[in-house]
Amino acid sequence: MNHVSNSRRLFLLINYTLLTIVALLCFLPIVHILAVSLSSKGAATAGLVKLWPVDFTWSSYEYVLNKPQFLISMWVTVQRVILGTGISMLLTLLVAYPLSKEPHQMKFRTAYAWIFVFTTLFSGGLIPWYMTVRDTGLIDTLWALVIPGALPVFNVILLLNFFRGLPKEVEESCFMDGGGYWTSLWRIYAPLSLPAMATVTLFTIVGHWNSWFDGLILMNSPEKYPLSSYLQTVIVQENLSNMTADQAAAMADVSNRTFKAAQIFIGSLPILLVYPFLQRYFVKGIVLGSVKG
Amino acid sequence: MRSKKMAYVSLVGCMLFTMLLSACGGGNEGAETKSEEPEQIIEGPVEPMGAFEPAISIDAIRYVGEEVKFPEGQDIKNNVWTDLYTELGMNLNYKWIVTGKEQYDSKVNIAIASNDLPDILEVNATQLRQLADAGQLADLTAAFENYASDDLKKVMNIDPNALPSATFDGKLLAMPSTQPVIGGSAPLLWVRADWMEKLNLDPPSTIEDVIKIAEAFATQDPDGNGVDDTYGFALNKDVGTSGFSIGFMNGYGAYPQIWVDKGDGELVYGSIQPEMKTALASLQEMYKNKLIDPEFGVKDTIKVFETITSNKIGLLSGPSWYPAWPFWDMVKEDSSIDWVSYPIPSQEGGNASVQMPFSVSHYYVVTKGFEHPEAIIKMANLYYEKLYSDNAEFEKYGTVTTDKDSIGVNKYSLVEVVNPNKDLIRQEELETALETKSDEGISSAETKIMYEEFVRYLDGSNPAGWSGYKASGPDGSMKQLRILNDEGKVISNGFVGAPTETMGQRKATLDTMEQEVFTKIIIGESSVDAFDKFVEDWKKLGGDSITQEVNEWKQSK
Repeated sequence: MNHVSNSRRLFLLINYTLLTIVALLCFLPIVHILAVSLSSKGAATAGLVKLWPVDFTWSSYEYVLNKPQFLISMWVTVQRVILGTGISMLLTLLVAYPLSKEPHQMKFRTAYAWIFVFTTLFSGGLIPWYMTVRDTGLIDTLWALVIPGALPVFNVILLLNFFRGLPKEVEESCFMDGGGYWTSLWRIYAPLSLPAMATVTLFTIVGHWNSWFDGLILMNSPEKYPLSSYLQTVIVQENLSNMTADQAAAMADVSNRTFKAAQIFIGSLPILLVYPFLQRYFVKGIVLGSVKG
Repeated sequence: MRSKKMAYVSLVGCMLFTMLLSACGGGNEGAETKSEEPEQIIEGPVEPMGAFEPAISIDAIRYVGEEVKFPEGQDIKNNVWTDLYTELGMNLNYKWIVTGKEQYDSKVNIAIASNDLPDILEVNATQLRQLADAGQLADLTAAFENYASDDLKKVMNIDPNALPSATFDGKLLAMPSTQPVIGGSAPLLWVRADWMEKLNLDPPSTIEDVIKIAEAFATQDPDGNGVDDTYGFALNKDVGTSGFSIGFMNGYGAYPQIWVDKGDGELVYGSIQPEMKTALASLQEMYKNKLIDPEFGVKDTIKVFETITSNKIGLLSGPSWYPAWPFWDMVKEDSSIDWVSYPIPSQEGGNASVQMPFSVSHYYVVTKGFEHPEAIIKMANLYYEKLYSDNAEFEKYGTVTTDKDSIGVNKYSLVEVVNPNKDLIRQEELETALETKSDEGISSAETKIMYEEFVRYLDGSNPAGWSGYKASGPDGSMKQLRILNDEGKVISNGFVGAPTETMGQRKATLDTMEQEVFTKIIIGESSVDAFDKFVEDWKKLGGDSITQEVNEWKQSK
């Protein structure tokens, strides 16, 4: 069994080489951003920085960490991630569990399922969405970032399928011992579906972390922007062809690539750190959810 | 089973539709009640700078540029300008504030669609047309007539198209925000003076000479590093829409993206004229001879700036302010670097006519139902009064200088109306002041500050004055623009209305096609004759009806 054929060896070699290249392609942009953020402004403006800092300096990080708006936005994002993920996971679990039951256990299950699926196929559009948030009084509050997307239907379906894949006998044993549906959900299904939950949690965290459009539209002042919205305003370049001579001088001042790079890097660091911890569940979760029967 | 399922689906569908309909109904109702309020009647003599008694409260929205800074203790809601408004009985109440113009535009679109408008807001030409057609704007005709200060009226009339572009059916529905676009956009030729000297090159007198300089810069190692790493001429991916290509094309008498009068009063689209074919052929030749960065097709302006700053390009066309950015970034590191500007030469020799956009790209409007539409006129009066008039307090309301840096506080004003020729006037006054060694003839405090900077630059104590001097000094780029302007060689877009109907539907597609065809021709993927096919396609795919609409617009003015 230990014998590996030559063709297999060749396959492995090519396979790993290709995968390494793909991995590097994903990794190099981050390295480049890091290098730029640690370089001097002059070197970065001249485009001399590739993958290693030129004229090493921490000054961009000092600038960013002393910039109140960056820290405020970071805090808003942390709040929304914790609050949003908590609420979202609770709702997902509470919706997925009953929907995973057979129709004789859960009346009108199909109808409920359709209501949820319907929202993934048709949406009201931007303006009705905005008006709903406005008229419910959520606008300009942290809740506007948390409530409107609190139930990701895709995650519900993922979890629902995972629940269906679990052996029914386990739940039946719970009923035999006198437990009800609540006990079954909290003490049987939730613990058993940790991989799927980790996957869904990861999706939710990343979704909240990266989402910038809602912050921009629903918040009434820049001080309330989450980090991604703030970064969007920093990185998107003003239209240079429409600039007056006086503006140009001011723009030259803020168009500092090292500052931008430092903000991008710090901004993506926390989310990069989440991945390794949830990664081991990730692949398993997604595959298990999709295979059933 | 199946029919049951269907029943549920349709039930849910019905519910959602009802919800949707009721939401729409609500929106419309709001619009109607608003428009029923009576029009403002103005009577008796009025004071342009008079205070409101009692004070009024104004709902507004705004954006703050990323570059805007604040002195200690001030922010966008509390600063010298809001204090000034409060003094005059105008209490600003910002419904929302956003960073960045682009973000602002999308938020305004949402505000318009959801009928969530404040009393005063800034809009672009498309949004203005939209609001005007929907009848949501207050008529400013009387307010402007009665309240606008003489200075404001003068500035508004410098560009003869400014006010007409905001007038619909004889009613003035917006205050145009005029901007000094000539200094902001009109292209000049920028050349590395130290490279020209090193290679013994003469200043260009025809566009052919420009190509010769490009060739020398690309092949004769002007930076002397022994490596063949320089290009002749800068170009970015936005062919025909960015200054790099526009200036060069202007040299051939081609005016991309704007509507030009061919002499018989009829407006034609610049990008499809035969001159453009010649310009493209020339660019193709340059690309083939490796005078242009082969990666230009993926580089935006900032990327090209990088190429310039890293000593790879020494010849480009661009606006008057390039010394401030990106040139100063290199000059401050290495003072042996020098840049010089020339007017774009034409094919036959002499200066070519260059193009600039319309001086108004955005407008201030008052929504219908607001009782004091003159508030916006007063704000515009104030802007001019406090910054550019004889009573200006520029040190307080324009630029505040602290120990650390100088802060442009004029950006906090809600309304911004600038003399379109501001840059040119400034250059002229500075030149005279330097000649006479006195700032007596200078009309604005802003220019006086600049004069001080020039004096200190010239005696060597202010090296950072380089960029200002290169632009507005006696031989600066603004001087060349001023001469061109006096000779009538700066052409503005002949069409200044809101996008016409067909433009709304087709312009994006046509622009994409134009960009693609031009780029392909330059990199040699298509032959120059592809241009003829492009012209045909352009006309067929909506260009003809756009041309017709544009000329109908012109007749109606």
